[in-house]
Formats: sequence, C-alpha cells, structure tokens
Amino acid sequence: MNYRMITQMLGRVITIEAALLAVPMAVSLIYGESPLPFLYVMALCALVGGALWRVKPVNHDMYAREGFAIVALAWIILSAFGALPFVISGEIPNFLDALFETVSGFTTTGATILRDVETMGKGCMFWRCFTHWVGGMGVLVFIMAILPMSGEYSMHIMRAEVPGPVVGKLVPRARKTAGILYLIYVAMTVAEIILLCCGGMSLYEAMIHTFSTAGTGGFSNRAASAGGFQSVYIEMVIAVFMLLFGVNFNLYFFVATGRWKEALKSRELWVYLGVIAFATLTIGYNILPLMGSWGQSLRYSFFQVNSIITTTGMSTINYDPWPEYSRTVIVLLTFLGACAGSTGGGIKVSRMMILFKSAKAEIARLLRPRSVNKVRMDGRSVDEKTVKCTLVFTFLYVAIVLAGTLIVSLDGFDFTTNFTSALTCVSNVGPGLNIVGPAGNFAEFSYLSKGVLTLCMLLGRLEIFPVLILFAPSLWKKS
Amino acid sequence: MKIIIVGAGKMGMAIARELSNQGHDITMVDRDPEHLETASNMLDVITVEGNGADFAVLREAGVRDMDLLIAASGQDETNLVSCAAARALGVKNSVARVKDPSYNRETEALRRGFGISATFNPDMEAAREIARILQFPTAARVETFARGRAEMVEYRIPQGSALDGLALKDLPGKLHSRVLVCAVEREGAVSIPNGEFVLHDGDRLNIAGARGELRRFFTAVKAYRESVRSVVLLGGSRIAAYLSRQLTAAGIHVTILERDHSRCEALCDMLPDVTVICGDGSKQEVLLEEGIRTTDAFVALTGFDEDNIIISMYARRCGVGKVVTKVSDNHFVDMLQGTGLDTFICPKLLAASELTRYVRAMKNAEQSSVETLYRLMDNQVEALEFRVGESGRCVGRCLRDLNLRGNVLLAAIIRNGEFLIPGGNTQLLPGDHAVVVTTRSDLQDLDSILA
Repeated sequence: MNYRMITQMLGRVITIEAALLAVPMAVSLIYGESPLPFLYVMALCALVGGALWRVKPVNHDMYAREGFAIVALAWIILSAFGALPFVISGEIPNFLDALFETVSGFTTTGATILRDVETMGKGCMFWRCFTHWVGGMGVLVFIMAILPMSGEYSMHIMRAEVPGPVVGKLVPRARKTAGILYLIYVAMTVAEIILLCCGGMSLYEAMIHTFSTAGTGGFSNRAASAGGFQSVYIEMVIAVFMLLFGVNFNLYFFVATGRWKEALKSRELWVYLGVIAFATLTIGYNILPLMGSWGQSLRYSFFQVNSIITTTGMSTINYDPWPEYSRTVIVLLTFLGACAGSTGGGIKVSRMMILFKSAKAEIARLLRPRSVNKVRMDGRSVDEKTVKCTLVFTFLYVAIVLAGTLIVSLDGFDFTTNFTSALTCVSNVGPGLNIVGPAGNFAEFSYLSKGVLTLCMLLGRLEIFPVLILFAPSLWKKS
Repeated sequence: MKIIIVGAGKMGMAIARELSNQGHDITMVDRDPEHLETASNMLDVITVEGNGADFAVLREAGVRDMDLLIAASGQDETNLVSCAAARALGVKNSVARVKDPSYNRETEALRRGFGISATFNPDMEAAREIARILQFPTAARVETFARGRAEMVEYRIPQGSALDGLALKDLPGKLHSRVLVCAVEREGAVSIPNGEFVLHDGDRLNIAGARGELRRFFTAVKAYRESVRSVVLLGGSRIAAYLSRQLTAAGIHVTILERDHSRCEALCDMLPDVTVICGDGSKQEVLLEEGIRTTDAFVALTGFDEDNIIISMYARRCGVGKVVTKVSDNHFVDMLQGTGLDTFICPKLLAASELTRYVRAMKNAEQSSVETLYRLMDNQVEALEFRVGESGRCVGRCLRDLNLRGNVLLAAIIRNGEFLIPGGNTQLLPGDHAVVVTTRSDLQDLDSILA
C-alpha cells in the first residue's frame, strides 16, 4: 500500500470539502443565520486537509487496491467532517445521528433520523441536500475533474466510485471523462432548477429539490416531500428528471456528440424504460380504487415508480397504505435500481440483465453440455470475469441486506420494517415500509441499528467491494 | 497477357494452372523454394523466390511489364502490401486475396486505400455457393446470373425419373415450365444438346431458368425439395462464419460443431444467433447427440478432405437430406461417384473461375465484357454472362440470323429483370444480360460467340 499517496489524496478530499462548505455558509449569511458552524468546520477541514496534502509521496504508484482504499476512506472521512456542522449548530446534537444523516446525504440515500425536517435552519438544510448533489456523481470523480493530477492510475479510482458492472472512459483521458460527466450533471441540474422555478418554487427550494433529484437522494425541506407543493407540474418535472438522472450518463455524452443511434441501441435503457412503464401502469391500476380516476392514479404511480427505481426516495403521497401488490413492486424496484453509470443506486438494471442472461446460458448449457454460450449485452459478449463479478456482487448485496435485517431486528420492530430499512439503505433509496415508510423516519432505531444502516448505505453507494476491501487484512500489509 | 502471381500455395497454384491453360504467361513469386519447385514441375510457369511484397523481388520478377498482379498468398497483409507495391512500380491492375472477415466489411475503401483493382475471397464465394444450394437442395450446384434473376442448377437424373426417355423439345409442352437444359454429361462426355436429345437416367444436367420456373419444373418431375430449415456445420472455419451469417439471415437455424474451445468462443462472439457446440465432430456419439439424425442438412467444412468425405458419407447414411462436402482438392470427387455424395465445394476452383472472369473482362473493358463466369461439369463447360453493349456484331439482330460458333449456346436473356429463353426471333438489345453456355474456353466478349 502506498500510504503516503493515499494520505495526500485524502488531504485533497478534505480541502475540497472545506471549499464545498462555503456554499451552505453563504446560504446561512443570506438568510441571516449564523455562519459560524460552517466556518469552524471549514477552518478545521482546511487545516487538516492542508496538512495532509503536504505529505509528499515517495512514488506515485497507485494500483487497484490503492484506488479502492482511497475511495472508501474518502467517503468515510468526508461524511465524518460533513456531520460536524449539524452537531455544532445544534440541529442534530448527537454525532452518530448527524453522521447517519450526512452519510445518508452523501450516499444519496435520503433516509432521515429527523422527526420534523421543517424546523431545520436554512443553511443546514441546504448543506443536507447539497451533500446529495456532491455524492451523486462522486467526490473523487469531481476531484479528478478539477485538480491537476497524474492520470495514469486514475481509472482505478473511477472504477471504484462510478456505479455499474463495467466502467469505461468516454474520451482517452480520464480527467476529461470526469469533466464531461460533471458537465452533463451540471447542465441537467441547471435545467431542472430553471424548470422548477417556472413552476412557482422559490430559488432556494428549487435548488434543494434539484440537488435531491440530481443525486437521486431524496431529502426535502418539507415533511410531505415533493407532495407538499400540491402541483402536478412540479411533480412531473421532478419525476421526469429523476428518470433522466437514472439513465447511464454515457448515453447523454453520445447524444451530445450526435451519436443518437448508439445511445438508442443501449438495451439497458429500453429495459429500464420498460420496467418503469410496466410498474407505472400496474400500480396505477392497483391503486385505482384509492385514487378514483386514472389521471390521479397515474400521477402518483408514475412519480413513485420513478422515485423508487432511480433510488431517489422522494414521495408525493404516503404509499404505505397502498395495496400489497403496489408495496411489493416498490420493494422489488428498490432491489433493481437504476442504470449503470447513473447517479442511482440498487443492483442496477444492467447487472440484472447479465444475471438473467447468464441464467439462460446456464440452462442452455445443461440441455446441451457441449454448447458454448456467451452472455451478450448490446451486441457484445460480456467476458467471463464480469459475469462472475456480477454474480458475486449480487450475492453479497443480498447477504448484506439480510445481515442488516438480522441486526436491526434486535430493536424489536416488525419484519417488514426491519427488512425494508436494511434494503432501502443498501439500495440508497431512503424510505421503506411501515415505520420507515415515506411518512416515517429512522429516529426510533437504536444506535447499533443506525450504525449498521450507516455502513449499509456506504456499502450500497460504493457498490460493496471498496468498503468490504477495507476489512481485508492483506490490504494493509506493506508490500 | 503477362500475369504475376504472388503466393504459390494451393490457391496460387489453382489460379496459375487455370490461367496458364488459357494461354497467359505466368510468373510465380513465393518465399518457399519447395512450393516453387512444385509449381515449375507441374505447370508451364517461371518462378522467382522471395517476398512478394518486396520491391526488389517484384522488380526482379519483371513486374514493370506485367499486365496484372494477383496476390494470392495466405496472408491478407502481405497481399495488400504486395498490390500496393505493384501499383507503385507501375502495374495498372492488381487483385488481392483478402480473407479476414473484418477487412471484407469495407472492401471498397480497402481497394481505394491500397490502389487495388479488385479483391477476392474464396471463403466467402464458397459460403455463397453453399447457401444457394441449401436454399435449393434439389440441385447439386446453383449458380446465379444477373443478380439472381436467373439461375443455373446442376441435377443428376435419378432412376425412375419422369425425365427418363424424354426428348428436350418435348419438355416445355409436357412439364409446363420455361427452363432450358444447357449442357448434359453422360458417362464422362459433355455435350451441348439440341432439341432432339433424349434424356436418360444417370445424365447430369445443367438447367437454366428463373427461380420460380425451376421450382415448377422440379415439382413436375417430383424432385422439388423446399429450402432446408436447419443445418449442422462441421468445423468453425471462416467459411462456416460467412455461411452462418447468410443462412441465419435467411431464417435457417445453424449449429456449428467445432473442436477448439477458443475458436468456439470467437464464433459465439461473432454469431449471436448460431448454436455453437464445442466437440469433436469426427466422433460418432458427438454427431448423434448434437442431432445429425434430425437436421435437414449437413455441411462438412473441416480442413481435412478425408474427414469431410467420411463424415459426409456417415451423415448421408443417417438420413440427412442434403449433404455438402468441402474439398480442397477435387481429385477425390471422381472416386466418390456412387457413394451418394453429390455436392462438393472447392474454394480454390471458385477463386480460379473468379480470376478467369476478371482476366477476360480486363481484356475487354469497354464492350460487352464478361460479368460472371462459372465453370461447370468438372470444368468442361463454361457459363458466361455478358452485358450487351451499345454496339457490337450481335446487337439488334434476330437470333436466327446470327451464325453462332459450334458448341456455343445462347441460353438465356435477362431483359429488365425478366428471364427469357431465346427463340429464333429474339433480338439482343443494349442493356440485356446474355447467358452463354459453351464447352469452349476462349470466349472473351459477346462478339466472340459468332463464327
């Protein structure tokens, strides 16, 4: 392990966080709140980050394990410092609660321990939602895009942070690739802010909800989430943007460079849209008796399906009392998640496709033992290693959800609560069912459960392996 | 014409033999002295040892005075560089053998980039030929003219056929189909029959007609079989890959049996709609388990003629309706009469015909040049397609007024996409495609059919 290199990278991350904290501080100043909590933490970050940044690595070697370690540690440290303003300002007095909230923010989960979100100060609320936006595309990808650094080993970092079974570059240079991803991200964010303002939202609320949508996080400053605005226009803008942020960003790059056909050839996109259409229609039919008309029915089901499949977790209505079929679909969508290379979480549509296809190939192999079968995606065969990695990933995903359920069940709640709370955290959705449903929160849980769920969120956002690798003793050996 | 052939392997030899027999002066270049020794022993050619893509070697071979360079070595890259070098040294015409499927996707760009006149790909030609046969399994060979408007099929009259004892002039009346028997082989002797000719069983016929008419004809004599629906290919060679693409596009289900696992994986990558089986197709139990008894057709494409022949015979015995056998040398074909195998494909002979056509067309670039050339009946018959030009001695005159040379038959005219059997009053008009069948081998253009 190249400890010095890792230390230096972490120094950069903490320094960047100091800069990021300037944004909520400015918001505090504008709304006449005390900027001091942010100022203190900024000073601390600048001090610690600056000191670590000065560590000069002996060599710049960075391999897969350094990449994994940097990403995992960066996210933990980022969350730890990010939680401090909540504690100092007294909004969330307990550090563990604040950490849960911040991890929930950075991992774009949107699960909250706040009983009443509407009383939070504007600066802290802004920071809470801003973490969604920062976490959505990835902190290290951001650092790669803006800081000059050697690009030679940067793919290891990108691979560890960008979700999906296979991560490729858009252009030959990793730095430019990161820049392009952020450019698309910023452009779509600005577009949504403008559209929401057109719907009569204040700039502040438009920004907060856009950050939540863009990162597919789900925090809102309203207790009733996006439903609090009682506006079909706002709901549809948010729903469509959730859908858009759940699409692989590479496709937007293809579209922007005029390669429409390539973008439309993506099978993952069509399966994603197909699942959304199917779930919207069947849930719409299922809740028809509750809603009274198809219009209302589709309005709520379309928003909710997009919100869950993209793992945003915003809501326009409390869907906890919906019929069992709808609740089941919502849980299944929580598992599925969005497209690879998007800001969404979950297992990802493309992984599910690989799994189904490899199941099909395996059955064909059983029927004709000599036949050679390959899993194909978008006209190309997926190599054996990726298929295997996908299988292991999915197994670990389910195993972590089950282990989480087991530990959370010590608190004595019902099974649905326990299971959906673990699942929703690993999938980075936010709300689950029953106690942790859209109208509920995670405040009731013990600190053990909150700690486990915090870990679950990190595991889910970083797609398990980087975090899990931290626990491998061989990682820390000097080589 | 003076022709230089780079590569004296099997392909180069077949081409050299063909062109040398037709009176061209051939120089052969190869790196392997043994190849050259064989070439100079067996053929009337001069040989030069060295790399055919080397300027010095090409100069030594006297490339400057050559009319055509044919690069027929086994390496695409050598062939392409060789042609480019010849171009640089002042040879106007060059033809390269290109076998890599990825190069064949953009042959036009390849030609322009290297300054090559034409490329040829024996594997792809072989695949096309096999695909045509599998879609018309009644025939042992199927050749097409005028982009498929007319076809010429080879058919051996079985015992007890309705054709036995029928005179050719009675065919249209009795069988209600407009087809023309162009050539007959009886006991090794090939002739171009007239109306009085009486057919016997055992005769091998070449019959020309439009697809629909041929179907009607074979239905009338109860010999017609529909296109196959499933086919097993033995051996995952390049021919198999080309063939699979064409067959799956036609809706035919393809299973490839290949021994080598990594080749199987590569095939799997290339051909998503094909069932690829990794197994030794020379083992009986593998063939049985992978469904040789239930398939409509079987094509043996391994690199070993003996394997192909023996496994083809086994497939025949298992009751496979149509068996196609690839052979790299046709000297086995004579030995296999009466074994039930009738359909053989020899890629290098296809390539030799293709180059013969090219050379004939080159001589005569402006007027009525050879569009297509097939060599039929063990190379004893040629079928040529000409495009009728604006001028020429045949144009605009009634057929009965034309004094055709002996052993030349004007078999078909394709006018505006329509197939016509020429009669005495038929005229040849500019823009027509004329199909001529002959036992001669010196037809250069349409005028040369006249005495």
